[in-house]
Amino acid sequence: MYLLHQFLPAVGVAVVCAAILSAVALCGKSGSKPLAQSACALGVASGYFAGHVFITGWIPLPPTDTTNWLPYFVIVAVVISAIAPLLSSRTVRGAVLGLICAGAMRFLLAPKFRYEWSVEQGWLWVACLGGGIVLLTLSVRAMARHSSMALESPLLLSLIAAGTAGALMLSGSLLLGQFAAVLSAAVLGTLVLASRDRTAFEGAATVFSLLEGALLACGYFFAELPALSVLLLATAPAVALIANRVSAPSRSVAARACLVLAPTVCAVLAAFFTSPNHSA
Amino acid sequence: MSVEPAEAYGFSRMADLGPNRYPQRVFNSTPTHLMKRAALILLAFACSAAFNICGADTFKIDPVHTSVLFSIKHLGVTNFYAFFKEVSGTVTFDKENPEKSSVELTVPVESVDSRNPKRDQHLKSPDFFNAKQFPTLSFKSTKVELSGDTYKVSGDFTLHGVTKPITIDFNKGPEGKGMEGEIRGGGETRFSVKRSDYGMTFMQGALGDEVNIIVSVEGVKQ
Repeated sequence: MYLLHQFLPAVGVAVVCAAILSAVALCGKSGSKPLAQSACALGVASGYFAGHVFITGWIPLPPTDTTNWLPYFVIVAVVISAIAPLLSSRTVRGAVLGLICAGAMRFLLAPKFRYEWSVEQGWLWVACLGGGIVLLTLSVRAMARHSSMALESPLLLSLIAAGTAGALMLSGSLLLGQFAAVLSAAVLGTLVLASRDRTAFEGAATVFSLLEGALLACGYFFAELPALSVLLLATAPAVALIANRVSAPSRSVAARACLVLAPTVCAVLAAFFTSPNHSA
Repeated sequence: MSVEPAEAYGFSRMADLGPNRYPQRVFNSTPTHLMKRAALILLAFACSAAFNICGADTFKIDPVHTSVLFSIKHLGVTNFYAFFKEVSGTVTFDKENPEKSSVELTVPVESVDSRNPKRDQHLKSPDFFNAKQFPTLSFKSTKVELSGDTYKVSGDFTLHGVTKPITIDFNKGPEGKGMEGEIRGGGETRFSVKRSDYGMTFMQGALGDEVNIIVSVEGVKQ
């Protein structure tokens, strides 16, 4: 009961903020795909920003706790989402995204550089994580593009974020779990927009992936989130792409849901079984 | 093992001694010189003893006999206690000039023990101490002054990556001899901090904001 009291207000703030921005975007020029996509990115970003700040209070820059870089990453992700369509080459787009994601990871994992890693080791991690987030962005974008139903992508991605919240909570950090729950809520808030344009979530792929990747990295490096859970949650959107081969829309949605649900549930179970025993 | 002749060490045979019969290489002085030299040696001893009495003593913290405990209100019902298994640092104590004394203490957060592994993990997580990001909590004195029987120690307390100045009352205990003849000294302090001041804001309500800290130190004189 206490957990609900702790969680619900922030989650509520995230849903409401994301929904309001999505609704405002709906009132704008209808039928504009880029506008819907940008509004979706802004909706998820503002929902997450509001929820995070609701939990932690206003965050000074630079934050002492590097986890509090996340609301600032959101702003960067929105800017990238807005700029990305202007870059003609797909390679350049990927390279810019990769560099920015790697930079974000460098800020996020600064304590590891300070206390644990050598410079080479640190930059190797940062490069791999940056590359991983780019792959996650591509798979989320593909998932949104190939969605058969209007609400499919936000619902499935919200499920992945909720699974991340569960896994993080079981890994010893309720706070990180709460941040993931806020992300899940922010994604749900854009359902209003997704009901109009089923590919609108393509625009929020960068915001979602950067946040999801950062939360998984925080869970793995700062809490006790097992590597297996990280891998399962990070690859869930890519696994869902297997369902693109199914031609019938209803069956494809069901297959995609199952393909997302299976790794997400496995990730939560892996976190549960590796957490220290309460009665020990 | 070969025994080297006495000459090798500068001793001369009695036959080689001079008319005053004092071996030249050993003493090389008259009785007056000897007296002067002895007086100088005594003076040096006296000076060093006086320095030891007046100068500062440095005590290296003995982690085995030092305790760092903290308590926090749980659900507003009662105080919950936990402790840190490891601690290191030094206390420099100057009896004559307390303002020249200093304290430096470092506690690894990973060593927190609340007698429950799940809770230890939670305490070390980003929700509370955030051990991976902020591996130590520390205190470094900036000013020490004697106030009645206690020492008022002002310094910088670092917790959760945030450093704030605090002033604590330190009650120094008497010195004692250890099992190996070493001199041991120590004392105790109890103080409170607000965890929200240090950015530890999670679970406010269920857990109190005020954290009571007890530090009982014992050190070995260096």
